[in-house]
Amino acid sequence: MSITSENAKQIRKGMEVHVSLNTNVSGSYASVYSTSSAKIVRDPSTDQSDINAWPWRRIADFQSDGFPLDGSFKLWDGDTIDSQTKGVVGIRSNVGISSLRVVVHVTGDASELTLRFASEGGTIQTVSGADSVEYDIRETVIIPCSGSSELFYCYPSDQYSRVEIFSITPGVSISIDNENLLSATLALRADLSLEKPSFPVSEIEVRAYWPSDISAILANIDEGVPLTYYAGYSGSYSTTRHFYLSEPITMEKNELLIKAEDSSARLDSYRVPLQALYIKPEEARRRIYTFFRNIIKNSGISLISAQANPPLNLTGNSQHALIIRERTAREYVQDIMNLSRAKESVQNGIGGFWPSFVDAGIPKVTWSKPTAKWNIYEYDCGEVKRNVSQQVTALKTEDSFGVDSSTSMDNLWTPLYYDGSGYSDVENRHGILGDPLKVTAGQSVIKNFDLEEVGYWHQYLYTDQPVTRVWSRINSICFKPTKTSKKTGSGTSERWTNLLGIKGKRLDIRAGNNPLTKSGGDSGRTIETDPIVYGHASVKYSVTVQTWQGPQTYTYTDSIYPVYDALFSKSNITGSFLWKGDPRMQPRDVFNFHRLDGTVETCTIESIEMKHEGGGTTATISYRLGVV
Amino acid sequence: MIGVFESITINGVRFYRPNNFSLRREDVLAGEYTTCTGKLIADRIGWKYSDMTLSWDTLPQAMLDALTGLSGPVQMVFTDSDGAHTETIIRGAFTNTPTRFTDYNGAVMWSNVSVEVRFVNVHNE
Repeated sequence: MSITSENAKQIRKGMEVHVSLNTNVSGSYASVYSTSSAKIVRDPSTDQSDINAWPWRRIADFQSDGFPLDGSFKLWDGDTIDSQTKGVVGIRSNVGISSLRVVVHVTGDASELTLRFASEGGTIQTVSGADSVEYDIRETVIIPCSGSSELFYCYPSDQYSRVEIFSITPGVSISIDNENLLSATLALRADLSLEKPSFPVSEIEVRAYWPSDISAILANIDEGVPLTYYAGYSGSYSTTRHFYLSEPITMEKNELLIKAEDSSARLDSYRVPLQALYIKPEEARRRIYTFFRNIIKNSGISLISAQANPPLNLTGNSQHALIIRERTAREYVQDIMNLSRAKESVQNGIGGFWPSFVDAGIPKVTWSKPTAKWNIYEYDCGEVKRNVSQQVTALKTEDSFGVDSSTSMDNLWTPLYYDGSGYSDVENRHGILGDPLKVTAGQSVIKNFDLEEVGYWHQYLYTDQPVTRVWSRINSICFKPTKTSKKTGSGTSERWTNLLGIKGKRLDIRAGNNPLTKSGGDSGRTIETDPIVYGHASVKYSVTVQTWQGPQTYTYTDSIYPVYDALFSKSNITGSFLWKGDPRMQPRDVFNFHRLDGTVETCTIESIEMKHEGGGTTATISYRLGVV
Repeated sequence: MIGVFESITINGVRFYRPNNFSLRREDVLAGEYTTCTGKLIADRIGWKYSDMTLSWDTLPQAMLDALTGLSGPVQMVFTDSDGAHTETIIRGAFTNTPTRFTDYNGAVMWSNVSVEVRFVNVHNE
């Protein structure tokens, strides 16, 4: 049974949904170091940190109502060592109402313990100072842990039963599946809109039944705790999505409400600094892609996977300057996805460039143009909607350099920050460039500047590299006696540099069109844009064509970022539909939409609102026509 | 003594097997929606016994009392060729007005008793 085969059915089997939240921080470890004589069996692995991933070796005995004869219970064999293949026995008390005393020692940072039991029934009594709190034994019980150790007693439900503890782990470990899930709603988002799109955060909201009141314990759980989600069928699950708590967990009338968001929320935490990128045509795709990845990485997002760098293109004669203005990572990620494109395949071609970052719990970066991954048939869809907006044919901006500005770089070194004019020698030595330097005539001196103090944007002049260090040749030395009374000039002396400044290659920005109109003369609407880069990064490619003189090769240079034609060429047709839902789908996935009239449209998913509720799954998918 | 095939047990009280006591199964669907062509799309999350009406031609006063006294979810046990089955049911309304009479021993009996029952459990095997 697979998700694909089930999705092909009109009535498919209800999907399994698994959500888990674990506050156990790395390094936290629980070890059981003392149990009472009521203990009859204990695996040493009970307190292994990964024990919850191990199967449980259930032991056949005659407590209570006995055991089923279906092979799920094994005979006790003391020589069988617990392992991931053999399973774990856990801690088992004697049959009867005598208490099982357990002391757990915790290393690391954990204020709660999560205990998993074989079955419900019985009680736990914690002893913390003078207070004693009793909890009903359920399959999972979370108790507070005070300090580095916790003492508790377990009591079976009656004199014919025993207590069986499967695992003890530090931290809160909440596992939710179809048994206790009330609903799970995922909003997996991309923004494919034409006008000022912004990279949106994806979210998950989970409602689950929890038998005991753990609201006091949940109050200790910080935001940012990881939550994982996967769904599907045994043997065919979706990739695990990773979210992070965005709000404290609440609990009301045994109903947990958990809200989490994907790691793309961190894109606001990093501001891309002002800088100039000098990009050679052969490495343009690679430089833009690396820049794109680094922005995401610098935001603190750990990628699940990233496509390897694109290959080099044809070598060009000159490099192009791209001025990166200071903006958030979120703005740059979206801008590059919208406006960075290269021709897909021409003879001796570029090979395409389609940078894309999708998170939705599975953060991944690619640069290849996506191809259709899914087939969706309209006859399987409910509430199919289609919207057509007016075509965008012009872009305008309030930026003084217009929409498609260009840059030109001077090959001469020009003083950028400080040329010394208007300042006296004393001011030069003691002024804004910092303390005087002791130097030796004829030798170079290197001075480190404070980046914020010096800056590297000055009247549209840019340094070649981000400025942290500037080289200056000493061209004169002034001699200063320490005591003016000593006419002979002997004694201690200081030597000074006369000027320290920053030089760079002048980079001018030339204003572009405003508004920028689509070639072809179509009528349509004009939308506002905010160029966050000046200039262009370009690639070089060649095309060989057959002429009457034989094959002729022509070379071209095309901009790959920003490419405003990419925006003009986006479809103005969008739509949405209700569908059965597939937990493997991601925003920006491309699908073939098989319409009722037999036509097939290639579309790109903008967002997926997937809802697991009452055991069933549905999804509302919105899309834009074409590969966006 | 009535045998298991001639009786059912509701809330621990053994009743005569109702007339035409034939249980039917129905699929339980979730995530249902209708497509633009009118087709039903859904997830099958399991099956349950269809709600039914239990009818008896005649029922002693004690059994009727047990029936009228049912409140909330209770267990019904019945036996068929697969063995004994226990289901949780919720009693619904009496669908007609039983007629009271006295049998030849003087015991109070009721005729024409019909009551709706709703099966609660969903099985996903």
